[in-house]
Amino acid sequence: MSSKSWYLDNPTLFQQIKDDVSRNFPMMITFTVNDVVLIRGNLQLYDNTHHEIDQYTIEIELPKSYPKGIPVVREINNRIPKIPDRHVYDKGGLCLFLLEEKWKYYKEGTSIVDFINGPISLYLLGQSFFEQKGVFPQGERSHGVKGIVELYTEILQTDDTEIIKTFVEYLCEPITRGHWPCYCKSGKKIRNCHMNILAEYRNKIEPEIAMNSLTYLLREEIDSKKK
Amino acid sequence: MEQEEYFQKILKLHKVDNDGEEMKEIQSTKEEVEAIILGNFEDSSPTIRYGGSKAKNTMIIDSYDLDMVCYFNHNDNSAGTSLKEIYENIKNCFADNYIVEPKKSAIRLISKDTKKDLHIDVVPGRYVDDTKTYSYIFQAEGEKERMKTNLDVHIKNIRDSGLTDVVKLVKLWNIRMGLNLKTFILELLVVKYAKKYKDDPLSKGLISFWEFLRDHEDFSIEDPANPEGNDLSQILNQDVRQFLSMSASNVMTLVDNNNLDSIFGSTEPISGEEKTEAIKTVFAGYSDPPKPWSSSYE
Repeated sequence: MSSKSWYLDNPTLFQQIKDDVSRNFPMMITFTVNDVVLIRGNLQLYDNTHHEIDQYTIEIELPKSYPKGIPVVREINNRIPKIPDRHVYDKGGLCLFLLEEKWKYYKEGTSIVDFINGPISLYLLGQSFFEQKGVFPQGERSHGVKGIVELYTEILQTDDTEIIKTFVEYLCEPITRGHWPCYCKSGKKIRNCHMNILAEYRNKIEPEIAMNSLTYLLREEIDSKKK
Repeated sequence: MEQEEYFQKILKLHKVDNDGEEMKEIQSTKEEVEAIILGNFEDSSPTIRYGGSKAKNTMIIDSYDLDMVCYFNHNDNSAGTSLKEIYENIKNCFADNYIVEPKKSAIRLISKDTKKDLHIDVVPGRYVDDTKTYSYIFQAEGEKERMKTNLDVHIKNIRDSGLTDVVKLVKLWNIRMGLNLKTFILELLVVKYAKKYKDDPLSKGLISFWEFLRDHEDFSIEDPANPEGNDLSQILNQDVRQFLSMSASNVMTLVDNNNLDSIFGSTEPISGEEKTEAIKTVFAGYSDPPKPWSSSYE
């Protein structure tokens, strides 16, 4: 692997991002600081008839592994309080969605323009709505492990944490063995039970992301045993 | 809409209302701050007055920090013998009433009850001599521990420049673009490079300033109160100048395309109720919009 930053390795992609950003978001600028690519400036949010609803000053930090990884997005004018209830980390990073849902909202090949127009704009519109009404119009995930359990409950149609944990463990494995007991506790081998669902989500959720969630689930298990 | 009309309307939208809640709160905190200083240093009569954008008439609602200077007489040691001691003692005298956040030369005050930033910076210092023209202020960072300055020169340089409206919109641009450039640097840039437009309409001065930044990367500024002693080239280094130039180039593209609303937004912002309705309509177009999450409980 090259030791150079991705934008030096791939100047064409870097130039394309610069051009796309400046064409679509003229008050935003793409530049580099300490080998990190940042996109910073004013993002105006519009309704379906192109009437301005609101505007935010944001900064998008592209990961060093770009185009792999999810960019970090920050609101940099201190408008949104940096608290979990507003879905903002201490250092200002916005929690746009659960990492598990990357396949839906930041799938491979998603352009920066689509990312800004999609998850980022929707998140900020949600914040504008929250300022007025105190709720998020799109709903919100519970904080921490509860949000993770909510997502897997939707996928597996059960809130049995044992089933969820086994499913997530299987997602962490590099390959699936058909003779493994099915995560659903039916006693059958997975090849004769829910192999199709596991295969579907193995394609959608990366092992590293599943591993991150498994850590949350195990920590929660240890904490509840202590109690 | 014509350029002049657009920029005038934006200026009006971002004007600080002297009778508004924010200013009333700031005024009342200012009085409280004065009382605390005078109460702690009863034998002194420091000069406590406005500095910064309030004195320079360049405040905008998006950035309404209030600078208050507190200068002790040159032979007055009641708050400390060194500048560092003065800074520390002034900082400590606020400890019972506020959360204090030390900055390079100033002390930022934060409410103890609400943890709200009060947008007040107190800058302690000491006059150089009896004439009370120049003063020394402490610098917690950087090579030099003290900086010589002249508040009146700074204030006059901006307030009487004829360019305060241009400065206000350049400050707004700074905030909107996330340029993060210190306000006094922007002010000095405007006054130096838009000087010849001081009698022209606002739009002419503003656009000419952006044009200048777009077309140059070798601009520089000097501290008018101490041009020899205070080197500002580190703050306005090549990266910063390049970034300013790029940002100006972008904004000038919008000006040239007469796409003014994209610069500072609409001159007729929608009401809160209209906003929530519009947002609901946007979300109605999504069957499964991303739901925000947070990894932490706290």
